[in-house]
Amino acid sequence: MEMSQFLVEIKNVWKSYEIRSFWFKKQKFYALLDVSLKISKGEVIGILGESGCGKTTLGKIILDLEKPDKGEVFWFGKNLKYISRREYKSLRSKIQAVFQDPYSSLNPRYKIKDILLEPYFICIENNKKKGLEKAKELLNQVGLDQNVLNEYPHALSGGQRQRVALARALMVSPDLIVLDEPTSALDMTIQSQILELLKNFKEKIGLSYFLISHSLPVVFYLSDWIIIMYLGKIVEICKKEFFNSVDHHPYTLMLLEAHLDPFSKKPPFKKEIKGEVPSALFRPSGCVFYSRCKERQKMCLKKSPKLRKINNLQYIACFKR
Amino acid sequence: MPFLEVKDLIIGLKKRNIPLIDKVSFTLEKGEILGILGESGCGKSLTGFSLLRLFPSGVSYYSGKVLIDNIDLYSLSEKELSKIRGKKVAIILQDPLSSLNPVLTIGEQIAEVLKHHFNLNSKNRRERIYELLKEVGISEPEIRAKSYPHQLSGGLRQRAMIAMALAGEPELLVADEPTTALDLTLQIQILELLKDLNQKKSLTIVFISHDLGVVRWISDKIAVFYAGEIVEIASTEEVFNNPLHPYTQALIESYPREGKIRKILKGSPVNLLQKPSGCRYFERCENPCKEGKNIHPDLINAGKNHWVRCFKYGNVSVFGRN
Repeated sequence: MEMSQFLVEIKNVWKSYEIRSFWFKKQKFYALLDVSLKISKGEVIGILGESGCGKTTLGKIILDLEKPDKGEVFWFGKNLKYISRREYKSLRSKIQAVFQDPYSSLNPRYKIKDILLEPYFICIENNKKKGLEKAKELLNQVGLDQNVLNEYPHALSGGQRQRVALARALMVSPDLIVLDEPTSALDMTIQSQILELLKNFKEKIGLSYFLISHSLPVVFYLSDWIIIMYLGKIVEICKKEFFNSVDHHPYTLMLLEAHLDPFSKKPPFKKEIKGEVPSALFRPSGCVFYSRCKERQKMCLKKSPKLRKINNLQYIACFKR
Repeated sequence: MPFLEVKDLIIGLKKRNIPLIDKVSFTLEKGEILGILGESGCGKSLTGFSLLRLFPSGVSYYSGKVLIDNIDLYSLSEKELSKIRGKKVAIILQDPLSSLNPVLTIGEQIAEVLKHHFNLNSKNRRERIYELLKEVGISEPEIRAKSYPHQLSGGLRQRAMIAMALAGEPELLVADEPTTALDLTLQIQILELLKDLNQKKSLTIVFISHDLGVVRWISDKIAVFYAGEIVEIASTEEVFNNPLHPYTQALIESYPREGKIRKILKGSPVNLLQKPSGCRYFERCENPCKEGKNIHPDLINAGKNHWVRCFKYGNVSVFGRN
């Protein structure tokens, strides 16, 4: 059996949702349009975008929590459409998730012990002794005391809960963890603790992450590749080392300008950023970014640009690049 | 004479004798922007609310003074207070969807403020509403005034909130994390708007946030809060270029900068219900001093109007303690 070099591969995925309005008229809108990406082992992919750009939906597609309308999802080279139940079960545990809000993602009626053991029993083996040993080892690694095993989630602080959520994901020895805004509910000093922890795991055991965030410094800190999404489309893929350059998609440039860096030398207020992300219900034809773009041309209104390779480190969807 | 003066303000839980903000003092000149920086539960929002004498239930005023334009806020009756709130000092909150009334249109909500504070006929009032909406950058004010909050996008809602706060022509604006719920490209637009209002109308702003970048660029002066008290207060340049308190230093160093975190602060913020008798930062401090274990440090002047609550910068306050 040959293993693919990619942990997850997504090919031309489309995903739409339906909204029922007050008059029971169904309205369809696309959360993802023609999205393709690959995640290799040991790599961290950071997704940056504003609310409603489809970044969480993309995370769900990777986790197979949502099925795409069109397109294919591969786990370890296996197409999820044709995979057998047994194979699916063996691969399922290799892709785990940590969510934004550690207050709602841990079962309040379970002790930490049970929270950690449940995935272990289901995915690995039904051996309480071994499971507890692993749980203790992992708690140690995420920087928690063994005493928390008998606590309930409410007794822990936000940072501690996020550590438990991370330990739970690690209980089944995954290769990839989808991190959906892992630090945005946490305090500043706690955020840096969690970020360091995540980076350590990546370096020590070669864990891959799919990091979803709206915070530029967080994405920049952890990722190898940065993907920028706008209104359901990937507008740019860029290697981290290249992110400080000036050649970017106009939207990336806008994000960079809007980010308030406490350490930059120049004051940021230039009054050049205007408008908001349009609603996905009234998607413009042509380029998704047309309405806010500074460099728009006539052709951008008619045709939608495809993601093109600029060089080995960068892919941009724009006619002018 | 400073425009806003807060003096030894102590506010805490009604039943138990626990101060949630402890001896907070600062002054602010007219037209200045004060940034309040701190982690959750450090008392930064409570300080903001105390400038309007508004408290969450279960919390009450213990002692201290808040003087706005020489009016002592805590000696007024409720009736006098209602003339101050909205007129002299107004507030904007984090989440505009939950702080706007969902069953009234934007126009009606602004009209409420105008009815309370000014004696205008309905035509003038309508004109004033359009004027206010235009001022905060809302195009087509005639249509927007008739919309309900749920019909507006996040950015427009926050603008409408600001229009409502400005309706009473306040001189002091308390902004409690006004951009935390907004996207990056919206955040900068709202901050630009606040900065504009500050410059054009010399509006004094108390800006509460946990985001270093936002506070760095909006404020003239920064107060860093830790466990209910100010640990450092100085001009923005001073705080970022020459932070003195170990907590401020750690905050700045732990911000991911060019893909690196320079220092990680261990532990988590102190629980206010069991705070230590000595220095409140003692447990997390990298090189704690001996005095800090049992003695609570005072805010001392370390030069250039830079105040810091740490024993390392001199143990001046002999008078205060004996």
